[in-house]
Amino acid sequence: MGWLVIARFTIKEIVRRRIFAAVVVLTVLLLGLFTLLLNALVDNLQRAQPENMELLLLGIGALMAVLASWSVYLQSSLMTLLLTAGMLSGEIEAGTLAVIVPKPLHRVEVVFGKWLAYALVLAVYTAVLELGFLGVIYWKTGYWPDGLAQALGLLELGMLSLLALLTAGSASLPTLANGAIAALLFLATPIASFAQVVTQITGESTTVERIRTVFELLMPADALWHAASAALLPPVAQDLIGIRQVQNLPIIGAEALTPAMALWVALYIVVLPLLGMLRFSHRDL
Amino acid sequence: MSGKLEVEGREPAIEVEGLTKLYHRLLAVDHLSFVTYRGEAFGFLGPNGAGKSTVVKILTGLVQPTEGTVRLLGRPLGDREVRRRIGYLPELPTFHRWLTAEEFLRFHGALYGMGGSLLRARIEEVLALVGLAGRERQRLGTFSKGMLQRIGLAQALLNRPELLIIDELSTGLDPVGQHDLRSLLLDLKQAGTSIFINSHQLPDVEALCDRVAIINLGRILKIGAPEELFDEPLLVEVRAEPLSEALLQELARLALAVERDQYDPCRVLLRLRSEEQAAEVAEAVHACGARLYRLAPHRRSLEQVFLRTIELSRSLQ
Repeated sequence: MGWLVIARFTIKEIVRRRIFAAVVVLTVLLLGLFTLLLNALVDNLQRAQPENMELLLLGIGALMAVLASWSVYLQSSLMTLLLTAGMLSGEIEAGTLAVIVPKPLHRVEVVFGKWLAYALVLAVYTAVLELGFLGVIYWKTGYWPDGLAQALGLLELGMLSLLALLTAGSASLPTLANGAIAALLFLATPIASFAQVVTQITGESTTVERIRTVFELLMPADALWHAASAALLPPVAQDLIGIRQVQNLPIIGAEALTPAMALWVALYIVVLPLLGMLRFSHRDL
Repeated sequence: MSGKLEVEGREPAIEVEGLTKLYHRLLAVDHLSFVTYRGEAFGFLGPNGAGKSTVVKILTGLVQPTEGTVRLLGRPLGDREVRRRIGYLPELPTFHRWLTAEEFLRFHGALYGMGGSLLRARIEEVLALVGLAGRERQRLGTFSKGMLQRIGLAQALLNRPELLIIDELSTGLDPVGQHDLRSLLLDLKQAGTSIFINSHQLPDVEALCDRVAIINLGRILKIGAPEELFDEPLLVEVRAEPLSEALLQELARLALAVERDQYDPCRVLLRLRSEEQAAEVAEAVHACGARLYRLAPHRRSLEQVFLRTIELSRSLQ
């Protein structure tokens, strides 16, 4: 059960790292600011006493749920990138693995234990953050998305896909190169998505769409986010925004995940860490 | 030169056969073969870049060999069960600095499959052994180099290893620390622990090791007991008075060579075949009616043997 020892140790390490404490403090601050902002918005609205106050609050709640969840997606991704870019490479570079690897455990257990610890911590972080934001929204507007479970699952899958890429990279590349590649791929998909929206307006968009698909296959986090946002917005709200016609905007989407994409994501999340384990098992330290 | 030396009836601790490691185009270890035995302290000597650390990394599973076979305590390299019986201290060990000494040892104990009160007791024991008793709650980030070396040795001893592999023992230690750890390793050797020590510190190797291998460019140049490496005649200094012609003739008969000291008429240097001949020299001095003031062997240190071997191998390239 070497993987369990490694997983427990890694969780302890994550919690004790200054970056984790800093992120937790900043997250609490952000949540506090969001609460104040939403409170001010609702107060202003109530003072104006519009006729359809309840419906208006639900609309604001739905929109805020998507925007807040987008911020959760970005924060969770940033946290994944910062914490795991050096998951293995950082320890190889520091030399700390030199006394761990000769112990009676398989190298695969080192990778699996670390992956598991990061997946658990980041999954809890993502869930707490998402539920925190949505709790505030529900408190102030009464809006609670029906598709929350699905949206949260998709957010977690987005985090896991980024973690999968970083795990594989960390077994082969230096920390900086691994982080840079993952960050570029993570940013490239929304840029391609934005370019597609622009070209949809101007006319021919097939080439851009193909480029976007390639980027989505290389890093499916953005596709997962779009599907999560579709689950958060009720159809009536989607119609109101007019997103159903274009299917995807850079931040908001109306498309559910296709079965082919869901299969690709499942493979991506499983195969990349396995490749990382294989690479780490055979590399010199 | 093959360093393989089978000794009948002795159980091997490390068996290395035709070990080769190629880093891209760089040949770090070149068809190396040697055997170390249970209860033996074996020293690996060589200049920087000789391939010593690569061999240690292969033995500990950190580096994959390109060719050749390695068996540790009778089992193939990488066998998980055999790893439970091995302790390893790397050169300039780097540890997780946020851990306290106790947490660090608890983590490594858990990796060995140890736990509970047994592990707690063993942690106290190893901390005392390496001279870090009372430092349980201190963070490794505040440890000096020498203390890190000691805590590194403590983690290597947690599982009461049958085979202890050390990559540079004295790095960062003060003379007292070096002496303490040398004594500790001698005690472990006496208790039956097999030790493989890779070192630049010739005094460590000389004090500890039953056999030594001198390695350069990935090959073993010499292997044997330290005294076997002194393969040249023994040089003995004799100071006697009077140093008569009769005595000189008698000494010349006993020794391979006699060299008189031009500044001290009572002093002479003899090259003898063995240490036993020294007694015959003393008898000859007395038989010739002279007084013996000094009879001292001039043994070449391991350092001299090491430097000469490396120099010789370089001149032959």
